[in-house]
Amino acid sequence: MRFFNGRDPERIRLFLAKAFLLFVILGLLVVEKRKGAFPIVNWQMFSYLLSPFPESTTSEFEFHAITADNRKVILNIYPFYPFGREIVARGIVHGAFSPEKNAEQQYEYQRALWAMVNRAVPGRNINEIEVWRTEWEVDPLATPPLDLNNPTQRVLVGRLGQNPQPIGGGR
Amino acid sequence: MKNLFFHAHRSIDRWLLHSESNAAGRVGLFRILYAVFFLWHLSDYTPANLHELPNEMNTPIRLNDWLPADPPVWFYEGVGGILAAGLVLLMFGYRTSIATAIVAVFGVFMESLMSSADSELSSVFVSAYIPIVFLICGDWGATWSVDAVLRRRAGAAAVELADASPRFVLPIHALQVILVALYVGSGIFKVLGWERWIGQEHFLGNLMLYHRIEAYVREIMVNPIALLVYHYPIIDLTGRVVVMVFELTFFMTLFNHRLRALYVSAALIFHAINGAWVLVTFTSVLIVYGLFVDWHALAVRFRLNTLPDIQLPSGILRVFVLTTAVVFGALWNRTPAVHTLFTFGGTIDPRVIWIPLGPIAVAWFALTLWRLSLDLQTWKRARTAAIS
Repeated sequence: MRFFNGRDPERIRLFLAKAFLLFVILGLLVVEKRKGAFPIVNWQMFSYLLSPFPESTTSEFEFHAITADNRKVILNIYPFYPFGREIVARGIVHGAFSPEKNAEQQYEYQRALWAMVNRAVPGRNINEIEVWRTEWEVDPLATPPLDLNNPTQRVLVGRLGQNPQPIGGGR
Repeated sequence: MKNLFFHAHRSIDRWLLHSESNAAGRVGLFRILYAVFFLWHLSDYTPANLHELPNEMNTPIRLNDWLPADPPVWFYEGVGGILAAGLVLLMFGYRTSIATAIVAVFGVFMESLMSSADSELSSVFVSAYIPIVFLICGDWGATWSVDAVLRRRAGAAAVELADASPRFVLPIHALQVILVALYVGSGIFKVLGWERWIGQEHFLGNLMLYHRIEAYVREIMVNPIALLVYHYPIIDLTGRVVVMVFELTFFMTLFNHRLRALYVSAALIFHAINGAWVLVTFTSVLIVYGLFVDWHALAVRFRLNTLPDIQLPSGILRVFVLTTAVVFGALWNRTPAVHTLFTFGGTIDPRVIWIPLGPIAVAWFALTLWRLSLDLQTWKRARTAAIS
């Protein structure tokens, strides 16, 4: 590049650093809250979050992976993705058994659910996966706020066979 | 007006190029720390897992417009494997410029794939800004590296570890500017979203109660102050105002290294509280704060002035490093054991890492505050002497 010919390398570094900083700062001003411009992304850090009082019930999913030798491996939602990213796993479960999805969409989610659980149970041949939802009554201001050993209900959300097609279940 | 512009321009250059203690030594050690950190980050959330996600869960990222709708799994695995190999080369500091380029390109690419499915904004430093800045204006392979050993053997003069040339200080200051821009931007968003951030009564209290319930369900450490914050709205409001003011005034780190240390240690305390108690982990940003620590001074305290003398012939050393990188990259998606090297079998997750760092950050904050007070006393005495 003719512009850089004969110039001090340290001055070139300084020029490139300033050009990059200008690009990033102008980019941050332009993209605002949009996330699609990665790596130019702003940190909103809860600026627009709604924070209501917690509800009087809470629920969590549980996965029963039934292996070829008829053993049951019980998993909670946490081993599939890193800490704080369980939202991805919950999204997959919702999509897999949601009546709002069409058959093709459900199939994609179920395939993802199957792959996700298989990944967490390496080396085992899984024949069937059951997804359960456990619900508890919560008093957010009490200590403890819930009794883990006394859920108010446990519901079978759905079942998947080896070739992900729902094989029955309820809500 | 023209004079003002040139004066401002020269001031910016002077600031970008101002000295840092042990600059050459500290960026060399930071390079090793960065590579290990990124490998740990990658272990916990490898891009191959994204292949299983439904297309509907993807949000468009401009950088990936050219990709087909459903790339095959080997594509995701390839990106992860090449990035891992590049990080191993970077860790050793062999062909550092090429390794930095590999990490920059594949790091940005990998994170853009992750962001499509699961946006985690704190990763922007570890995967994009750090390698890009060092690629375009830094030289973190000059010290604490195989490249440095090979250059010395070839007869080149060793780089002084206290060298504060632009190639060592520029990346630190450029990344500091980006960090300031993001923090101040976050503060400005809070001002613009005043009704939500300040206007919602019990904002922090409700958030803490919500995550307290989650902690009980997960059977992990519970936030001990959630009920206190909820029952005393003044604590809640004070916390929110302090966070907003902290973010808006983060530019103060540009004026003085002591203020920088104060703000960085406060930021670490903030992240540690969020990670440990509010269960909100912003962990991948942790590495950027490492730029502001004089790792070389710490190494000297442990009697490590330089890399130990490597007894391998240069040819074998090159082959060893390259083979390690290639094998590591090839095994990255094949062997879970490779991942567990960095996470200690899953023990060190994005939350647990903050638990020991919290007390260290508190100690650092207290020490910096004490030193600042000494600086202020010295300044007052000097001013009094000057007046009299």
